[in-house]
Amino acid sequence: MSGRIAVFAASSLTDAFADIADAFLDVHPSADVVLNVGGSSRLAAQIAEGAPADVYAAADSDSMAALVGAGDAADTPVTLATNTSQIIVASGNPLGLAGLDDLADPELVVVVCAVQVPCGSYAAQILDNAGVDLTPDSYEQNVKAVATKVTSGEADAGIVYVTDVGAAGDAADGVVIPPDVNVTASYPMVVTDGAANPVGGRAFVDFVLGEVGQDILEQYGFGPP
Amino acid sequence: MSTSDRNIERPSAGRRSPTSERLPWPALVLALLAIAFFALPFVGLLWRAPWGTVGDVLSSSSVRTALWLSIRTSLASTALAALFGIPLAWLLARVAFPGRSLVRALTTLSMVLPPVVAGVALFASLGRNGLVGRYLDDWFGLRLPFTTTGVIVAQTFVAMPFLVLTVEAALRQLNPGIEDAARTLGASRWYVFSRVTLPTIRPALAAGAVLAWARALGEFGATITFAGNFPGETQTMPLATYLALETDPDEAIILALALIAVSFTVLVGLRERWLGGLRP
Amino acid sequence: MSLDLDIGVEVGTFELAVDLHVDPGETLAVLGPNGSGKSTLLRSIAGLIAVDRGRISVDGTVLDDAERSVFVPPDERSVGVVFQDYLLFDHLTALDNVAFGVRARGGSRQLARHTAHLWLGRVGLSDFEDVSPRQLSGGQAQRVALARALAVEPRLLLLDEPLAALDATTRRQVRRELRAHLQAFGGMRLLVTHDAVDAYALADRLAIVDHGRIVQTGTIAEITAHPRSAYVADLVGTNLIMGTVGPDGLATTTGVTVAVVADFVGPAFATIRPQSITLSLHPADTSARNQFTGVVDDIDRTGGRVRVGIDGPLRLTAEVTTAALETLGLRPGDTVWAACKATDIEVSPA
Repeated sequence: MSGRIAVFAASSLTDAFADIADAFLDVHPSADVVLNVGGSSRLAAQIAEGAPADVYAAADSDSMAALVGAGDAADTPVTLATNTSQIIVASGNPLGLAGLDDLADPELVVVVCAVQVPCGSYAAQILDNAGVDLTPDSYEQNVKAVATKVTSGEADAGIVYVTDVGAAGDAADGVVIPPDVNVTASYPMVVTDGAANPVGGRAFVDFVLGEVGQDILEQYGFGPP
Repeated sequence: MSTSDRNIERPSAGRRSPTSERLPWPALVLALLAIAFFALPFVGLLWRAPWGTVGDVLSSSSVRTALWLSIRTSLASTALAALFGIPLAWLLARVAFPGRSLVRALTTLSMVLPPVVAGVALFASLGRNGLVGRYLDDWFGLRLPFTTTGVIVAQTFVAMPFLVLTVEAALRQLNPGIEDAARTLGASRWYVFSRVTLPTIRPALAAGAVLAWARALGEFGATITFAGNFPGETQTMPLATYLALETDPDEAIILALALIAVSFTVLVGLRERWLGGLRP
Repeated sequence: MSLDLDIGVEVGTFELAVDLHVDPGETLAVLGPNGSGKSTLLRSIAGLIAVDRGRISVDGTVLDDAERSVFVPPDERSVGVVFQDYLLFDHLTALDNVAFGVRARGGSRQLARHTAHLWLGRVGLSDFEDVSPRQLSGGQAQRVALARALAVEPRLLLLDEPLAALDATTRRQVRRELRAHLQAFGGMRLLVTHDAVDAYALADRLAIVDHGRIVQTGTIAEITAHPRSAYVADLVGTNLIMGTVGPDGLATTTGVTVAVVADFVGPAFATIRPQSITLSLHPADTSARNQFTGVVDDIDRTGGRVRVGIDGPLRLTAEVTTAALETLGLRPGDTVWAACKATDIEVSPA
């Protein structure tokens, strides 16, 4: 098991996959895992244009469907984890925000992902489910940007994944979104059709689905597949 | 091999003008490659454009909003760049003050700064918790991030250096004697500046303004980092194009072409009247 | 009603210290080589630099007084300047250039254009009103610059090397026209130049400046007769004769005709260098076409040279060596013959 493995993963998988890659290299020292994170749909588009990915992991099924439809999937995609959304606020929740309804306050600076990225479409669905009419101050290009705006103090609140709140550590707190309005994000993963290292790719996929991989994902707050 | 086959440069007997000069062929080849290099991306865009959907995309309100916002903000930024930039250029060109080279370096610095870095810097200074930003918020209730004003600030920051440097160079080249002459004729300092200095540097000023405007129009990194992305408020054409790429590359191509068309029209329209005087 | 100045100006390591007086209707030429301080003087009077010591006043109004901290900025002084390279505004037409000052001082567009139209007519450039300065010849540009300065009716007109930028042929013609314009101008005129001939042609009085100091002032005749130093003598001391060139030569007002080599006819002035005049006690058998007689009325021995002043139908100063003087044994009151070759006489149209 050797060679370079290029993994294109959704932004929300950034930290978890970094740890998984390290763990993978412990087991396969002669391999080299290269992580490219970004918006799921953008990554799918890049792969369609010929970007050299061996593995693709998306934060939503639409992006994966696009990849499969373009003929860029080598196998049938498998789900590696799930995630739900949460409201992210400044550490200590200084403004005492309790739920989605509070976000609608026009005085608040609230940011969400742009609808074109998975976390954005989830956020839109969630707000719709909850019947909250929210006009955010900005539609960020990926979920990490939303988290950063809140942790830096530029925004009061945002809608991100549970895992992002966890990743922010002491810099932020989360406010739960009730399960009846929340949306579960499925993270499908697949080896690409044009992979330069399909053997390595499959090994990585198996690792993510294996015990070590799943443990790491759970630590970061992801739900089981 | 007859004489006419040999590559002898025979200077023409008539007056030597730029249009009659011939380039040695290696230089010509390189120049043609350069032309191809510049033309190719545009040709590629035109070739891949989904011409069938152009009408729908361009008439959509979100595109028109983004385009209008881009035009409004870039023009405002250019105006601000001129308002603050011309005096700065004047200072740098004419007044020897301690720290002048530092100030000039500072101006150049913001020009070579990667836009995202500029955005982060603007954050740190003018954001809600920024060095100055916190006071703007507390005292004046003035918030820059996530507002159109924030977009203009970001654009002005990256665009102004182009104008300053162009105008400074022109002012340095200006013969100060004509300003002296104007004063002896009875012109006040302001009259000299507005009726003699500015008209004399008009070509450079126009070139600087066009450069600044183009930079402002294309500004992305600082805008998305500092001002955010909201249709009608902060979603300029570059941002809209970038986001369109996420889901619909075809739409992105159309938006790109729209922006190019606007820029091209302005440049061509201005070229003769204002930039024509750039000839030495 | 005059220009009075007594100033000291420091520019870097250079120091200018002069005092001058110019009356209305008078042209004073400040003559000196480059670097002698002429520009500094001009710029001080125009108000482009402030003096470090002393005072400048025009018609009793103090323009600059270092000790009393009075300084009138250039736009408020009634001083017109014609610069050496004319400094016309390239972005304006000739008419608008001439109109500039009037407009700048608050005149209406109509008044400014009318005034400019008049002045361009006076300098003979009516047909050039809409021309850009870039398309004007040197002589034409100079005229526009002059018209521009005069259009605001200044009390004092300053000219900086007015003919320096012109080629020899144009120079002669322009010199003549400029002389006429200057004479028509009622105010005070001060011109700076390094060219003695320009000074003769245009000025009534000279002030010789050297290393920032005025070393001598006076009329040409005075300076020629009594140059205070070899420097002055070299720079300017010469015989100046006014007259009209005709078929026989230069006819002067005293009835004497001087044989000259001239390629024109009409009013002219001629210069004869004192060194070109040979003296003899009797009429000499010489190839020189000119011989004049007169009585020695002055012998000046400053600076190791001997200048002999001769009074006669033509007033002349001749320069000879001390030895020559001894040989001839000349003394004031002696009759003497002065000879001069026609080819040694410089003639210029007046």
